[in-house]
This record gives sequence, structure tokens and C-alpha cells, in this order.
Amino acid sequence: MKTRNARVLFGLLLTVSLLVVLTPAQQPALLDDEGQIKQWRSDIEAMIENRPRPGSRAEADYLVSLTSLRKKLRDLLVEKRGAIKSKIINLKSRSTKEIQSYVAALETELQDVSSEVAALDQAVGGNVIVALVPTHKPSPAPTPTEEQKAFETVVKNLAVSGLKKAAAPDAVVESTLPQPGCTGDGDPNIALPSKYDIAICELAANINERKTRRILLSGDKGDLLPILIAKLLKTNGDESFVALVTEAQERRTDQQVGAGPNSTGTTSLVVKGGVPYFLGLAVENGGAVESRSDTTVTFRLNPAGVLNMFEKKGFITGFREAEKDPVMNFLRKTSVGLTFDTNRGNQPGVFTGDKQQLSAVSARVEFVNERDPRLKKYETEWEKFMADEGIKLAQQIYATTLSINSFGTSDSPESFNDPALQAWLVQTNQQIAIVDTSGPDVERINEYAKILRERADLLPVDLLRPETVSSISSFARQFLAYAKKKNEILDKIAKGRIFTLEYNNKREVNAPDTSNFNFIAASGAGRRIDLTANGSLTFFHSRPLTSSDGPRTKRIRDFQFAGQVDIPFKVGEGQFEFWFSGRYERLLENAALATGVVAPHTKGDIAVGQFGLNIPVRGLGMKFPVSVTFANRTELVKEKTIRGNFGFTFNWDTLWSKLKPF
Amino acid sequence: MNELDHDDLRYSGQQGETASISISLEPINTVQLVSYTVHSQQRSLTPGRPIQFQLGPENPTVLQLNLDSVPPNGKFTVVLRTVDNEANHECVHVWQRHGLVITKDFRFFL
Repeated sequence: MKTRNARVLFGLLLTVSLLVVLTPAQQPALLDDEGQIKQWRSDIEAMIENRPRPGSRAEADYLVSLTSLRKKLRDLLVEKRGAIKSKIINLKSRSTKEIQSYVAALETELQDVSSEVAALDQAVGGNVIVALVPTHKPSPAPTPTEEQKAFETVVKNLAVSGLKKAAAPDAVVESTLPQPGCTGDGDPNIALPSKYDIAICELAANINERKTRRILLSGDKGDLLPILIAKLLKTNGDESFVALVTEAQERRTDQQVGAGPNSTGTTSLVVKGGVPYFLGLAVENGGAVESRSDTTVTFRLNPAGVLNMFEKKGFITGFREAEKDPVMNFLRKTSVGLTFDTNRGNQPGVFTGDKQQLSAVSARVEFVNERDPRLKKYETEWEKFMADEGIKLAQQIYATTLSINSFGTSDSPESFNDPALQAWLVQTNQQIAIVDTSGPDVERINEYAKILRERADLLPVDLLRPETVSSISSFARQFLAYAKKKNEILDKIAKGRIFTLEYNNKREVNAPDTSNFNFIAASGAGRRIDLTANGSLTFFHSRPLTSSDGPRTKRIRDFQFAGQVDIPFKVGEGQFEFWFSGRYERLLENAALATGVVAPHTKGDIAVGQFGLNIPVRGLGMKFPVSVTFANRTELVKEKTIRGNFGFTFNWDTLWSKLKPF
Repeated sequence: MNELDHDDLRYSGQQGETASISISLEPINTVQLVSYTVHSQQRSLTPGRPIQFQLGPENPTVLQLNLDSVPPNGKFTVVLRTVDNEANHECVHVWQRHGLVITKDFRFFL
């Protein structure tokens, strides 16, 4: 037993001894290359620090020794580079995230080693004394480096099928929202597009404008980043950023297009402030407050905009010239309205636009408008916003740029650093290049948009480097903060006051014409609610006919007060507006019939309430206002009444800016 | 300075050469919100003032412009001056905003 134990003990001692003896012999074999690299680096640095005086005797020997050291170091680094490349090639086909993460680390190491080899090559070739401390941003060489060639090989090896496998599953990328087409200008053809839809159409339009049809990172980053946020971060569980770019955006408006409440066919109780730049058209049916219920057609036009149109100038040129010219600047704040009653004239029910159908003429001047974002009072806020959020966003965009893309060379475009993303870009550009360019712009833009949507769904999310995802998340976070701060200022501006004075000349067939002066005030409340108030006074141009025994009619016909609350809300892609309003009218004189004869016992108080809905129509700035009106009486009949009104309003500014933008 | 690729915003120049870029925005009632990065430094741009910087020593020297406006339909005209191989020595780019911040990288190679 003792002999057996002694043998076991001897065996153990022998094993331990062998391990102790052999281990130090193996460690230098593992450490040799790395240790040698470190040693030669240190030697080279020491040589550089102790270089001889230029022109001295020792200089020749010094350069020979230094060059020898550099060559040795370079040769060893070239071996190391080959070993790293082999590892990358062995592992790149495996899609496991952990392996891909390791491959990403290897690629970074490969990049560093390649840079050092390039610097050594340069130093050895020219005998130039250079520091071998790696710089933060190595200058790109004019010709492709080894590193670039290796990168291009990796990109080429990422086949279409390989990228497709790495895309997010259909269930994740599928959107329930409609996918709008694009206009010829590169806008989505829906009223309230998401940032994602805007990015797709804008990118498609950018591609269409280029001589060589392709995506260029130098000019398309602003569109590509929202697309990457929408598709990439959706699979990485950051829905708040995704919502920022995929949800439709709300907007506000304060322009009155339809007729004022004094016209027989109007759907409005209250006149709103604001003027269109060029032309507004409204067709409305149903008198909201009068006894007659006709169909009216109202054109509201801005003289400055119309003058520019006649000078065959575009929407944008017109605005610029109005700014320089004080007369044009004043005209820009005015508008003229013409209302036609289609029940009048030789062809009742048919719009002829002749003098007989002209039932009202109005003019308005907007003398206070605090909703102009360029006002002095908002200047400081915008400056502060840019000094703070603008700079932060610029810092983040630049940081994201440095992280995800390379600035390329003087004869090549920028490229993504991530091989999977670069392969996706190359394959997307290949598809774009085969689009038939013979058709009209709008067709081509929609064809590019279609390809972009399909390719966005095929982003190889499973192959992307973690640092790529992290950089895009950082951009999204800053972009969200920037948009939030900007919206805070816009909400403040939206609450600004508007004061407008309107003159209305109502033209009757037989009854005396009237003049109405209406003071319009508007202000915002809450984030988007709009409040409008009116106060008006109406005069007769001539006293109406009365019976010989009746009292003589006075000049002042009535005074009125009205108020309206507008609440915009969003349904899908549409911006709806709900409103409710009230109006009090004191008829100081008896009302006149269409024949011109005064109806006795009709003067008194009229109270009217109304609620309605502005229904938007896809595209072109058209809306259908529908409303229901309750009144204690009408002008002529002292009985309670309920009536419905409907119509459509059309803001030509929208169309004009699309048709003729220059 | 010479233009290498108009669409790709690629130029060539000499180290120390001054690049001058002016930016204008229309229509009239539009607030200009422009920031930029050059030599890795970020700044906001006062409307009407040009951006001026010297090329190098980094290669390429990158000017990254971020163009935003309120309301969102601003149309930016960016003019790069002293470009020898362009008419009037000016290189003009026009970009219409559609609602997103426009980001453009001008690259100047030495």
C-alpha cells in the first residue's frame, strides 16, 4: 500500500514538475509576437526621441538602424494582419450575434494594424521621421489602402440572399399605415405624412435630380437616418424613437376661406383671421343665420399674390419680392373676397360669375399677426434654441457620421463603415440604377420610392455592428429632444394673437345694400385650441322702404358678437377640426325681404349656436365643412330653427406652391 | 478650388485656401435654423452671414451643414465661392425642405 501511495505521489510530483518546467517554455511562444511588437515599438520611439543632430556623422547609422527596426515591425504586423483576416473570413458566415460582435472587434483591430503598416511603409520608403502613435482620424490615402480593399471584399461577399436572411421578420417591419405615393416635387401625396414617408419621397426626389441615379451619403444622410431609425430601432425595442418618425404630424391653420356669416350660403357663424397668399375658393350651401338658404361661391384672393401671378412669377419669388417692397408688404397682409349667389341671375342654380350673381364684396387687413415665426419677439427664442439644441444636434449628427460612415477619397463617395450596411447600400443603388429613366419625373420618383420602401424592409438588422445601432439610437435621442424643443416654441407661436379688420359690402337685388365692419380677434389656448371672437356693426346704404304710417328706419341695421372654439384632432393621416360657436345679433331695425319691403315686427334678438366638423380631403388642401346650426329665430321668422350646412373650401396656396415653385 | 463631383459635394483645394459659403432661404416668412460643423467644431449660423474656413490640415476637410426652417417648406440656396471650374466661379446648390433636417457633407480634398 505504501509502495502504491509512493508511486502515486511520485507521479503527481513528476507531473507538477513537468508543468512548471514546460509552462515558461510555452508562454514566450504565445507572447513572442505581441511582446516583440511592443518591444520594437518601444525601441523605435526611443530611437526617435534620441535622434542625432541633422547632418552629423551618426545620422547615416541611425537611419539604417531605424529603418531596420521599422521593417521588422512592419513584417510582423503584416503577419498579424493576415492572422486577423483569416479569423474574420472563418467567422463572417456565422450569423450568431456574439460571433458577429467578435468579428466587429476583429475588424476594428484589423483597421488599426493596417493603419500602422501603412505608416511604417511610408516611413521606410521615404526615410522620414514619423511618430508611430496612432492618430484619432487617419487621413485617407488617395488610392485604396489594404484596409479599404479588405473592406470592399467583405462587402462584395455579403450576397443578396445573405442580407435578406439578416432582415427583420415581415411581422416586425410590416406597417398597418397606408403607404402614400410621392408628388413630382418629392412630397408624400397625403395631408399629414410621417417623417418616414417624407424621407422616402425626399430621397426618391434627390436620386431623380442626380446625373448618376444613386443614393449619396454626403447628401442623403438627413433622409437615410430617419429610415434607419424606423426600421432598425423597431427591432431593437426602442419604439419611442420609431414613433417619432412613423407617426403623422399634426398642424394648424388660421386662414378663413369661406364666406363670412352675412352671406346667405355660409356654413360659418364666425369669421376667422389670416389671409391666403394667393387665392382661396369656397363653395357653401345652407344659410347658417339667414332665412334664405342659397349656394354661394366665394373667392378670396391676396392682391400681392395675384400681382405676382400676373407677372408670371412663382409662389416663392413673389414672397421674396413682397418682403423688399413696403407696398407689396402691406398688400401681403390684405385680401379681397368676392361672393357669388348662384340662385341669382338669368340661370338660377348655375354659377355664371356675372355681376348679377355678385352678392358680396369684402376686404380685410390683418394688422396684428403674432403667429409669424419671424417676428422680433421670437428672435431671441430661436437664437437660444439654435445655440442650445441646434448645436447639440449638430454635434450628434457629426458624431454619428464619424461612427457610421467614412469620408472616402477624392474619387469615391462616402461609404458606411459597417460592411452589412454598405452592402445594403450598394445593392440598393444597383436596383435604383436599372429604373427606366424615360418616363416623367413623377413616375420615376414613385418607382424610386417603391424600391426604397422595399429595400428599407430588407435592412440587414441581424448583421449590423452594435456600435452602428448605438450611434443611430444616439442620433434618434438627440433628434427627439430637438423636435420637442422646437415644438414648444411652435406651440407658443400658435397661441399668438391675430387682429383683423374686415369690411363687407352686401349687394342685394331689391333691398338696400349694407356695409358691415367686422373686428376679428384670435388667440390660442392650450396646445392647439384656437379661439376666435368677432364684433361687428352693419349699416344700410339707403333706408329701406316702410309703410307710410310706420316709423322711419334708421341707418344702423344691427350689431353682432360671436365666438368660436376650434379643436384640431388627428384621425389616421387626416387633420380634422371640430368647432363650436355662438353668435348674438341685435337687429335694431326690421329685416327687409328680398323684394326690398321691410317685414314688420322682425327686429329683436337672434341667438345662434353651431357645431361642425372640417373634414380634410387627401392632397391639395381641400376641406369639407359640415355643420348643424340652432337658432331661436331667423331674421324673418320668429320661430326656433335647426338647419344643416355643408360645403367645401379650397386653398390654392397649396396647389400653387406645388405647380409653380420657382 | 475645383469641383470634383457636384452631386457628391466633392471639391479639391490647397492647404490654407479659404472656402466661403453663403446660404439664403426663401420664402419670406421663414425662420432659418442652420448649424454646421467644420474642423470638428459646431456653430449656428446667423442669417445672412457666410461660413468661412481654411482647408486642411486634415484631409479631407469636411463641412457638415444642417439646414432646418420654420415653417418646414424652406428652400435653401447654398453658394460656394471661388470655384475655378464653375461659371462665375460659383457653385450653386438648391435644396427644398420637405419637413426633415437637411444634412449635407461638403468634402474638400487637399
